Amino acid sequence: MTKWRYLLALMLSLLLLACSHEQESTLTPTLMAAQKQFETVEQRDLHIAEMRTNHMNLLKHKRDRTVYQGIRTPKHSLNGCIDCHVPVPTVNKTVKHTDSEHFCMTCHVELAVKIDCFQCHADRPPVSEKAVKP
Amino acid sequence: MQRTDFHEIEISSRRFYSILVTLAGVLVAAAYAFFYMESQGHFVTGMNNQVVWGLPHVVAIFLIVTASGAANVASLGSVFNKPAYQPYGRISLVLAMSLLLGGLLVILLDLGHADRLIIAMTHFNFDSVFAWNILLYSGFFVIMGLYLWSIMDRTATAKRCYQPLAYLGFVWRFILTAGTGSIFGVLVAREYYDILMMAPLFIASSYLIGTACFSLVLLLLYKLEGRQLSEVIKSRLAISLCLCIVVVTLIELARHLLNYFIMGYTAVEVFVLRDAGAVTLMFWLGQVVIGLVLPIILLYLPSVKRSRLAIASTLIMLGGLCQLYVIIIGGQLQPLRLFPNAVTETSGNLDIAYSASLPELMLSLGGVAITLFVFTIAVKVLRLTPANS
Amino acid sequence: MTNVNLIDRYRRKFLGGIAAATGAALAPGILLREAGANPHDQAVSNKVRWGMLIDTNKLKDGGDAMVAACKKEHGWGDEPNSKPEQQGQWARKVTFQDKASDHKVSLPVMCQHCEEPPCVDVCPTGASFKRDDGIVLVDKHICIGCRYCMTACPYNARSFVHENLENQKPHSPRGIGTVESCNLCVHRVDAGKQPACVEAAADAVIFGDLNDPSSTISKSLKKYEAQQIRADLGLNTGVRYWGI
Repeated sequence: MTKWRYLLALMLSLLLLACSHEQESTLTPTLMAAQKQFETVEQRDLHIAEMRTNHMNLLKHKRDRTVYQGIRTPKHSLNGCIDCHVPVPTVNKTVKHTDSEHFCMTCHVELAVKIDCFQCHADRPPVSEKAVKP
Repeated sequence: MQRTDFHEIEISSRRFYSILVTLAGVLVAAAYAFFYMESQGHFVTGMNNQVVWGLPHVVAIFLIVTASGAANVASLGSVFNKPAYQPYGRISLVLAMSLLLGGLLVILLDLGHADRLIIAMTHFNFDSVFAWNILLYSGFFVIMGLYLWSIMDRTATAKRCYQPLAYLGFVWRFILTAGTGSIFGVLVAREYYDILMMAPLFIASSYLIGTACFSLVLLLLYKLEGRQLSEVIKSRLAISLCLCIVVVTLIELARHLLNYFIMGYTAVEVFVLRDAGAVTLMFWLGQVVIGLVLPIILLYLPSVKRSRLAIASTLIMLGGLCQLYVIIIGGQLQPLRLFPNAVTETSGNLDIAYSASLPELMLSLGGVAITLFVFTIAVKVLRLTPANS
Repeated sequence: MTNVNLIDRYRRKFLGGIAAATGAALAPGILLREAGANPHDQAVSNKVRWGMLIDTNKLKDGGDAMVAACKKEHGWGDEPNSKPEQQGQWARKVTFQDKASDHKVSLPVMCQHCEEPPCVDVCPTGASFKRDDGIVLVDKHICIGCRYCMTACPYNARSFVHENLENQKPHSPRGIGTVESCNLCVHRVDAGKQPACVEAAADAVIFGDLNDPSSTISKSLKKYEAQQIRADLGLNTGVRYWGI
């Protein structure tokens, strides 16, 4: 795992070098806004900092606890992430994991890190049955 | 004892590269088939929820079993101390490794998640025969590689290691083939696979098919060089083939009789040997007639001397392929009986049938092609071929 | 670690006491976990073994409703590209007719959640596993799609996802290149609920803890002997039947 982290760091710093003359915004792609917002900026920044560096470890840890021990608390649950970060599908628009605007994909496409989470996991929040019927 | 010199095969570059290009063509097609299956999913194959292992597995296991048998010539030279075989030990080992590589690649590329190879290497369930086989196959490369080094290197260290490695290689091959047979043997739900007979059957078959494959490849190599293979080795190979045919026939006979009369697996025996259509035909015509009866007649008849070894070897390999098809596909085609002594019908999708699709065929051929590709390069760049025998 | 375990054990015992007290007031079968208060955050324990008892005599439709409920809950069986024999199939209806008596019986067949599951023994990576509470399931994160478990299963209970899927149920992840089967609605059981098929045939099916001698299922099993499919294999299945 650490190897990958170094590789990521290397790639990031290369990217940094390459873009150093450009604006800062090229470093962090614009992500979709979350459905729920934190009450304070500090909470939000803490969440961003933790998730940016650690989301894969947290998700993996949680995944094993869920699959093997049946622990299904909301904390670090992938469904929880999706429910907040991906909009609920509407009649007009569904954001899928194949779209680059999908919250997870924006960065993963940018960094060329392929994930297979969504081969099995739902990539969008469930549509409540009442909402579908007009 | 006469010293044997070894050389790289003497064929023209044009010929060498045309062989490689032809094989590369097959490999490109196989790679395309793999990516097609990988991106679309297995619905593009003939495999389904009943027949979960298809043609790629038949060919892969054929190559693996052949690999173990092809190294037999090396063992005969060292472990059994038969000097006549010693000059061919190098070719035998390289052929074995190439065959195993081809077989493993096909199995790997047919996985639902070939991209998770690393998981297969890091997560081991030691209750699983399959997991043990992964270790056995990896070990095969290492041991055969070291064994080849001990044959080819002239240092004192290599000479010292030669005998122990030869014995280790022999034992390892034995376990590897038994392990491959046990993949099927441990399946309690499938009556056609009984542990008692699967391991010995696979060992015997591997000797037969492996020796046949080696004979054919050796004959081809000599033909490419425009040389004649010595009659001594030819007749020795023919005799071992005859012996192996007798042993395989006896074990197969014992297996079917045991299944039918003693184990009580009458239904599945009747199914495979009488009612399974193409599989039944493959058993009687492919495995029995082409794979066992015709070759032994050919090898014993004195009148058809010329190229009889080549023809017999080809037939034996075809028969071996049929044998594995009957075992793997035939065993899965038999419906599982949930309720003995009752007529069962299911509302769900349980039609049991199998026919290979084009991508599967291409992937399987790719396994054969990679074997030949690696082997061709090896005999061209390494001193494997005896120059004066 | 041991400390935590002790605390856990104590807490479970305590909560179990409360649960038993309240449980007595509730109808049997509704309360499933000893700690009914907040089951989400507790690791499953091997003190429990979930099981199911299906009374085929009371099943009016031979299990069609149960199969349909499973399909709806997990979303299998409508893969657009797969041929019929390649479709997902977690449960199916089997009808058998005894040769001697002509007696016809229909029953739903799904993963039998064996105590000694052959699929778990053969899996090379350990993806096919049995949870502490007896539920047999596939960890699709480490499933490499070799299908060895499918050949090993005596019940034909497993299927392989033959194509790319889209819009899966959030509570039931399933995807290309992995093997799947009935997981006893593990997400519902973990939340203290009953499997979907049990709810669909509440009169005919009892779900509960086989290890608890006072549970409805254990008592029922004691009253009349229930059969296992292929009992000769000695797998000690968690799914039992009456009337086969």
